[in-house]
Amino acid sequence: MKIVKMKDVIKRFGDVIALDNMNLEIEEGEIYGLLGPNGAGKTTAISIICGLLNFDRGEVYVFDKNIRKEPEFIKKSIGIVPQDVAIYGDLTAYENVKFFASLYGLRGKELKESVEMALEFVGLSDKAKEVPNKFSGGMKRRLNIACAIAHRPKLIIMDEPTVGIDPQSRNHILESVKKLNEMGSTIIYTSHYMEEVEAICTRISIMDHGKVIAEGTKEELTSMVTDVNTVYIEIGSIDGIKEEELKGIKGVKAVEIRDSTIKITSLKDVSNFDDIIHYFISKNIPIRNLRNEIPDLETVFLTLTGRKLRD
Amino acid sequence: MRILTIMLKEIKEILYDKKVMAIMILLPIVLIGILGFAFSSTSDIKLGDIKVIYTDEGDTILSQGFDIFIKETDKMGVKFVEIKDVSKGISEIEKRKYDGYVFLKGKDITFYKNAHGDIKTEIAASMIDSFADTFKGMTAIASQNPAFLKNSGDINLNREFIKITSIDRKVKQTSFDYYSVTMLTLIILYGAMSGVFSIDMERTKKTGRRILASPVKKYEILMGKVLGVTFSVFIQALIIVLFSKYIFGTNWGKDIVTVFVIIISEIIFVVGLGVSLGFIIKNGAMAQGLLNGIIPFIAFLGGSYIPVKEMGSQFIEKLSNFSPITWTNTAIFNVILGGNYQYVPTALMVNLIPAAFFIVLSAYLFRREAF
Repeated sequence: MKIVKMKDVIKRFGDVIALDNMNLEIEEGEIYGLLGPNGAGKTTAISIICGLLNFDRGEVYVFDKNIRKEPEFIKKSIGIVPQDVAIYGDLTAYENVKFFASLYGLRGKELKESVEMALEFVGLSDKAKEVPNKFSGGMKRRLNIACAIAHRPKLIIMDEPTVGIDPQSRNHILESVKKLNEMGSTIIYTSHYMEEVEAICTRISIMDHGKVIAEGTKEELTSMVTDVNTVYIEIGSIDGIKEEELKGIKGVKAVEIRDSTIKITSLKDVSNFDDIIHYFISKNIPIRNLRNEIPDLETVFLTLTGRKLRD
Repeated sequence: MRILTIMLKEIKEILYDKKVMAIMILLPIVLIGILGFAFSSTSDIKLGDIKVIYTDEGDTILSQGFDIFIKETDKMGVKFVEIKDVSKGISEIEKRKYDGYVFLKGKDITFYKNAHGDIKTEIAASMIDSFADTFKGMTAIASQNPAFLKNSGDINLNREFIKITSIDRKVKQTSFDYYSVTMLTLIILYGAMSGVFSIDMERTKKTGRRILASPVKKYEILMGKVLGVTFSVFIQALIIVLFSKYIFGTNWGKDIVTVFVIIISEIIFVVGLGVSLGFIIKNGAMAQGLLNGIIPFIAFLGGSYIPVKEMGSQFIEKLSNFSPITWTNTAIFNVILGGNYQYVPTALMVNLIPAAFFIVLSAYLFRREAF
């Protein structure tokens, strides 16, 4: 089942085109990453999916329902973790979660249990009666998540949920995202941080100038921008190493020897790693260090857009 | 149900805010205390003599009865001045030089009220009503049983039958009585700030977007906010009323329900004003500054600090009619002191019609654009 389907969506803000014929399909059960620099259109796309923003042209379906026709039905099953921490500083953590869960129609025992579950999930059960004004940035971010999940939404949209927090809280949040996904929620995760997206997302869209410019798994995306693999091998001495012999290994396109490090570039679709290692073993040359250079999403983004992700 | 959820959240946010509570409750109580004690050492807030003009073209019995009435009421501080010309009498009352004008013609009594219609006018009107009722009763008895009047000593109206209830109780108003009402209605005006912040805060805390992402309808959000802020300000007003009544001994009259109806109408007005300002001016501090500039002026015209009449300026008196708090204060004072409900509908209209306008305006602005 497709949880989200955007078809040729156009959204303008005056003369600025925020979304330019955007197409997007998200399957149930995915952790879907939306990657892109500021102004790429990520938040606009999310706002449209949540029913917060109207659009000029195109079609948007969430849970197979048209967002224009059945916004209330759709909103009931979505939880949003906004980019900015959106909580009430003077209400206790418990009251915050309870308030937002109540807006989704939860009442009585179900409400109480859901609030407690959400606070426990983000590790704030012991802080339930404290006011967030006294919380650290990481704790506020976690409460921000608790407020979005208490009503157990089918689709959770997380808009840069780790901005400005310590590594420990970031890891906690990333683990939470995985757990929520395991518990059955589909996740849309937007971020500047490609390492986060790489770590948790099952599929990724790269957005720029209001369009999805590339989409797929991490491997699919990286394969789009390069057809070679590069291995760096550090050895004690290069005596006995012959460049021609290395070039003779199947798939090897180039060999570069510099000091005690040998850079070997091979075709990506040829599996020759074992042969390369065997070459050094057969010559009794001990390998001190070995590093495989795999293009990351930053490289993909740079290649596709000519800009760095955080430009 | 979602309206109730939002309403409860608003109430909690306002009542948890110690700064707001201090301003809305402690400040008026302190002011009532200071002003009440300061003025109680000199004198009570006096209404002064009630000045009434009259033209006597009544028949003998009515004239005689009225003479006795004048002498009796003189002791209570009601001064009657005879004027021969009816048109001049009406003209004088139109100029608001007197509190009322009585015209006796044959057996009829007509009372013209001062158009400004303050408490003194109402007291004079009530006394004349009382006299007229008694006179009618006496003449009816005389026509049925003339001996009764003879037995009672004279054909004149017996003084005992001119039942003028003591006006001392009604006229007397202590400085605490005065300032408890005016400080309450003044501080309620500041409730507009809570209205502004109920909207602005959702913007600054970014929670508005989160609420709008839920399945709650916009009208539910607006109603929840208006009701929540209204209830919070009402709680604050209730505390002030109870404190002033039991600690300062303020006289809140016999009909506290009507007094609270008027107070609630003022609260709805200020909340409507505040909420709409929150939508119009998308900067809470700026809206707060605007209200801080307007409220003292409205309060001054409404007699919050000193009674407008004491200023002796007809211009300010006329200008005071444009202050909604003038009508609120007048209605409350009349209910408390004179049991007079004449100004209640006016006060309710002056408060509730603009309130309805502001709430409709807010709904329109909210529909067009989110927080």
